[in-house]
Amino acid sequence: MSTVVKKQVAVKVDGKDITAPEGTVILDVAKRNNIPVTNLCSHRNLKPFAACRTCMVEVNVNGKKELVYSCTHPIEEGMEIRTNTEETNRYNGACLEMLLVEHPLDCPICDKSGVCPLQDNTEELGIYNNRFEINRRNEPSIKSNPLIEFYLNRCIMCGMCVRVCDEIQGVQALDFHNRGMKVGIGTANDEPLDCEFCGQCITVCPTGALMDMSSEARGLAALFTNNESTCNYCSWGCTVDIQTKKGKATRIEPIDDENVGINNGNLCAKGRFGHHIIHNQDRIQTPLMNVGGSFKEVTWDEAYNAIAERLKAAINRGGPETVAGIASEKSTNEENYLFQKLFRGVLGSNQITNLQHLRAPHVNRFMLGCFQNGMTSKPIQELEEADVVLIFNSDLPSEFPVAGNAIRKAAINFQADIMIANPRNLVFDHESRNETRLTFQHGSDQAVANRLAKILIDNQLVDLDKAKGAVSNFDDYVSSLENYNADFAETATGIDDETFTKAATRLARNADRFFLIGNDVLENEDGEDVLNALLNLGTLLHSGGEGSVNIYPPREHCNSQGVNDMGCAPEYLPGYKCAKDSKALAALAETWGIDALNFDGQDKASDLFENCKNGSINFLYIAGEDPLHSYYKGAQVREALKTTPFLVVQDVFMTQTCEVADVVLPAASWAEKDGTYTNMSRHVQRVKRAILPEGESKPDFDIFCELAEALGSPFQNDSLEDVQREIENVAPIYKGLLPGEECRQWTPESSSEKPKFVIGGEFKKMAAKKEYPLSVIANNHMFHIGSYTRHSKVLNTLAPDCKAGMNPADAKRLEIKTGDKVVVESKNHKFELLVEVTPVAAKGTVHIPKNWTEIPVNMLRNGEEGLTSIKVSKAE
Amino acid sequence: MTQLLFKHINVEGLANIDVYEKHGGYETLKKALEQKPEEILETVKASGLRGRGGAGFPTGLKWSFLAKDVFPRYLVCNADESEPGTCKDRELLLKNPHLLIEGMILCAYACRVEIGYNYIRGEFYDLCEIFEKALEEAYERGYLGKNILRSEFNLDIHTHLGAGAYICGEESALLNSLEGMRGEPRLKPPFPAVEGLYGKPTVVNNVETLCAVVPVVEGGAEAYAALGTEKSKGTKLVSVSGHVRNPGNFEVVLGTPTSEIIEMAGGMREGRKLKAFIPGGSSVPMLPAGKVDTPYDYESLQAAGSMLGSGALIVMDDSANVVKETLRIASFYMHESCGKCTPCREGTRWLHQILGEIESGRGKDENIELLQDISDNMSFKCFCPLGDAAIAPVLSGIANFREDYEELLSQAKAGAAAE
Ligand SMILES: Cc1cc2nc3c(=O)[nH]c(=O)nc-3n(C[C@H](O)[C@H](O)[C@H](O)COP(=O)(O)O)c2cc1C
Ligand code: SF4
Ligand code: SF4
Ligand code: SF4
Ligand code: SF4
Ligand code: FES
Repeated sequence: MSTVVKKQVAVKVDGKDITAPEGTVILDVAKRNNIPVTNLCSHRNLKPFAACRTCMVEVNVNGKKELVYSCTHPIEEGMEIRTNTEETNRYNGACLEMLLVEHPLDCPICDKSGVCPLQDNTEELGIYNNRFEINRRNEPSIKSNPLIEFYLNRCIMCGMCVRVCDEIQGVQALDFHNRGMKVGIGTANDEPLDCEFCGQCITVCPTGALMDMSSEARGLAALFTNNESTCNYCSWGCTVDIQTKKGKATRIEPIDDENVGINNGNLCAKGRFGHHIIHNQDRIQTPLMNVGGSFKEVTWDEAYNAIAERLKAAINRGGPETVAGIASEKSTNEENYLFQKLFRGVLGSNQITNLQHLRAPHVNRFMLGCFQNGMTSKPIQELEEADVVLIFNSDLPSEFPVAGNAIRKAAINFQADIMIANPRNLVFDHESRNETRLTFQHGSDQAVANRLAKILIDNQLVDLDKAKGAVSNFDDYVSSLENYNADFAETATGIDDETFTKAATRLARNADRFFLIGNDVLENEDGEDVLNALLNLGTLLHSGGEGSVNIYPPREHCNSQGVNDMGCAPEYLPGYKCAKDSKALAALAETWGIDALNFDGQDKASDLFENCKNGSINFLYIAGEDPLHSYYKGAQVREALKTTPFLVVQDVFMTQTCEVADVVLPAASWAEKDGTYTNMSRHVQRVKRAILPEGESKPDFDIFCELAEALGSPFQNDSLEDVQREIENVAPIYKGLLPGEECRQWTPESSSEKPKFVIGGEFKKMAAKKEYPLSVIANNHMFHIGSYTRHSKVLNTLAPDCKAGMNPADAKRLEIKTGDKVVVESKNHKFELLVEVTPVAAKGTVHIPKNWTEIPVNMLRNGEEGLTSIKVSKAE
Repeated sequence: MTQLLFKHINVEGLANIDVYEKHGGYETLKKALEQKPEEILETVKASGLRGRGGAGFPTGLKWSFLAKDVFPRYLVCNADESEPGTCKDRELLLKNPHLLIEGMILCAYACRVEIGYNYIRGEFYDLCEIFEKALEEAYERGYLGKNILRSEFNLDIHTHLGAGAYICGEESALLNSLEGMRGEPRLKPPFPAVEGLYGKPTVVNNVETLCAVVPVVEGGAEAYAALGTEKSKGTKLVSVSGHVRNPGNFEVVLGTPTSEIIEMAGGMREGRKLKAFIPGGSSVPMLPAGKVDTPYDYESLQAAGSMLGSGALIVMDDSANVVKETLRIASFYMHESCGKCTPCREGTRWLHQILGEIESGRGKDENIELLQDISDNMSFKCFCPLGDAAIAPVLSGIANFREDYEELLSQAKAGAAAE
């Protein structure tokens, strides 16, 4: 928050001198200074409610004594505050006493037992008897939705569930019912719970009134073991607590503490309820070898020996550069580091990549370009204090639901300017009165960013002289924008210039700006141009405006960032050192204890599947990816995998890609291993083993170490700690950040080069083809990511069917209604699926989730550039 | 007897605009539009008019608190009249809706408001129809709408019916309800004048207050301030109910002795003596007969240990048992608590339960102390003033009529002993 600087005010709490910003309420001051004050309805993320009335303190200002409620009473200069006086305890205790009269007090079978504020406060205030007739509530539990049990006998009407659902989740699925003593919590309008199943309500509930039904474990918190780890789904990187009991991972909870991780106690449906992928009957239990077309269970040694043999044969036949590897966006940094070390150091091949890099190598260039232009970006926790948030082509509620939580907090605290640039009519409710919608025509992202920049320049909303002085090719940039006048932009994007001007004006103010870029910008071939346009826009604001520009590259999975940081890309060694830099190679060779790293300069990894297809790759190792299902050139992958003489696939589940492998290696799940992930804002965070690996599966880390051994070149460093030291050593950006317990962001080395606009690609209007008049927006479903969450029975109950989202007008024209089955057909492929008519889908677009293996959205596109054009008709 | 609001109240057909105009209606508005808004505001300030909804806050001062230069801003008329004993707004709405409309226009003009709402108690749907008819007439005559009486000033007034909750008479709960949200009070500050309806500056005034603006502007501040006492200016409508011969609404000059008002209502019933009276509606403490000569104004009633409140004078003669009456009031507050905050939600319920036990002869001696303790735990400790209202009759009843409690308790003891 750059624009408001708050005055510091000095107060005394229980005799202790404390200063805090003006306007802070007493309870927050006390909490931050570890002074206990009872309270039951206050939460740092929510607006004050002041209903429980158990937080009274005494204040004295100028000798005048007053009893006030600490959760709403702001501090004043010179205020003397006393907690725990005879009076405050008596009054706070009276409220607690009343709350307890009808409370079931069935603590032994209550989920909150041991971490229950009601228990704590009762103890704190010593409420041991009760002057009222005891009348314990005993209404039946309500289990009318698949996940959240309402056992309202324990409810104390703090309202936190209702408030978090509204203020932080923006959903309003819960509400108060009735009044007076009949008051209670329930679903909005008493209709069946229809919500995002984020579980935030369970998190904030101070009692056991709301319970997580994804787990059957109940009772005293002390019976569970807590394992602080990092979620393995999207790249937001939330800290989770994997709770285990008797060696089983029984449930996942957030850690409701703003100082832990980046998520401030928030989680989404996937992160909280998607834990059934850990203990799962579909998991691969043993190594498998394809013998004559069917898989045979083999021992690890058999598998390693077969792999080692084939690797050596392949290298003997065609040289080291005929063996290639695809690293995983879901494996840890340490694992990915070892994977590239195996290829580069042991096998002598630089042909290693990851799927994001293969599709969009410009993402890493974009990130490095931002650094070079001085935009190193703040820790993402500070999104909660943003003044301006630009959500650019991100289906945020599905892609980064927890980002939505942080933005809503910025909306509450600072009335942040929220700008939503998207081809969808995104549903994003928040409490800010400042929202700008830049709803653009599908495929016109670049024109949106460039028009904004042109307005900033034409209307001199930023200091042009300053920008010109700071950036080397300012004039070229200005002329490259020449075409982006109001008419052109309106035709291209469908957005009128008043809206553009409003957005540009808001972007230009002295502010902390956050750009969240969705992975959807990588969907079409203009991804690079879009990213460059955003890079330039950011650079213009950074060099010519006041405040900060925080801009993060699009990353999809839990370690999409880390897999690149670790050098799993042909251009980059660990830490983004150039793979052609002989000095860097020599240093690496020395660390690894080998003579030299000599690659022959071939680059097959940049077009890997094509090279597999044409026979120049003899051996392919896919360590935790399912390109057959997820890569945008589905048919090419199928061809490639068929042609490659030997294919090793390592995974947790038997994916489509596993099905065509020669050897399948069972990998341990994220709950069964140690290491780190790096999220989209470069926070390096710990992954912690909570349970032992299922069946014979092993962490990828162990597999790579053992394979190196089987190849006769064991790694010198094969303990996690040693590998982490090695990473810190070869990739200095990671220095001091491992083992990731502190959740710190890596910062790039400062650049000596002068900032530069990246001028390139001219805008080409993409349009659906005549015969195929609709375009596809393929996205992750709100309750799924990739295909692996489909193995979670809970997430599947929430979203059992793959549904195509269609705009009401399109649906009407085609006489299609919600629930109909339709045929979706492109030039390349067709399939049938159900339809949901929704205003979220803009006219002319069809949204199809990409998580259902039986609905291969990637095959519709099949490598074609431009928009994925389809036609839709009612199925017979 | 000075009659300002009730001057023409019994004129046949006063709700019709022709009749209203014939009795000088809308003349004040015409003259007012020749003055500047600030001048009207000054007049209201100088008149000493205080809010008639219950809190008695100086009206002109409230208007002057409107956040400067923030538009749009709103005027909301509080016609939720639900305080037990109070029925004065009802009579104004029924018989003289144009007086309220004229008052609202004057207020809107003074406060530079262009949108007004009348939030009408749900049970008053017939009054709402009358009011809407009157609005139609006023629009037709150019008193409402664009360019009122060819001036630059515009005003639209909308009506909204409540859904039957006492708490929606509390101004911030009313605003929530008007916005379509749950009728629950809001945290203050911010006060409505700064952040009210839809987060914008809002004036909330009672029906009677807004009606009184007409005579204030008509006769000028000085004339109005000449009536009443030092801190209580002008006239007040008093709804007299209970054990009197002729209950009803009476307009009195503030400072008139309470006993005189009881006389206006026909005095006590034959053979009955005054035992207790509640001067300002169920939310204020009850007083014993000995204080019946207290001048009926804000400061004197306060000095006597009660409040003027909404001006509902509830009279109890010696046939009344204070415990029974208190129990009735307690059941009202238990029913009407919005349920948000612990002390009110739970406290009103325990007050009711314990009073019920005493009343039905099952009380215990320590119950009186328990009632006082619950009240102490509610006093100024609830989220909104409803909780304080709920304890007023309990504490004042115990303080002034402890013998009624003790009688029931000793009967209970005797009963228990007999068993
Ligand atoms: C529980 C409660 C109920 C109230 N009910 C009413 C009511 O029915 N009518 C009313 O005018 N004011 C009522 N008030 C007072 C309003 O909050 C507010 O003070 C009043 O409308 C302001 O108008 P005035 O300044 O003209 O009196 C109530 C207050 C409380 C605390
Ligand atoms: S919420 Fe649960 S743990 Fe807490 S007091 Fe109630 S029953 Fe006991
Ligand atoms: S799970 Fe989330 S969206 Fe659903 S009711 Fe709870 S807070 Fe609201
Ligand atoms: S269910 Fe829990 S969070 Fe919701 S009001 Fe009740 S106690 Fe509070
Ligand atoms: S005192 Fe509390 S429970 Fe009672 S009406 Fe006011 S806010 Fe609601
Ligand atoms: S925490 Fe302050 S009233 Fe509940």
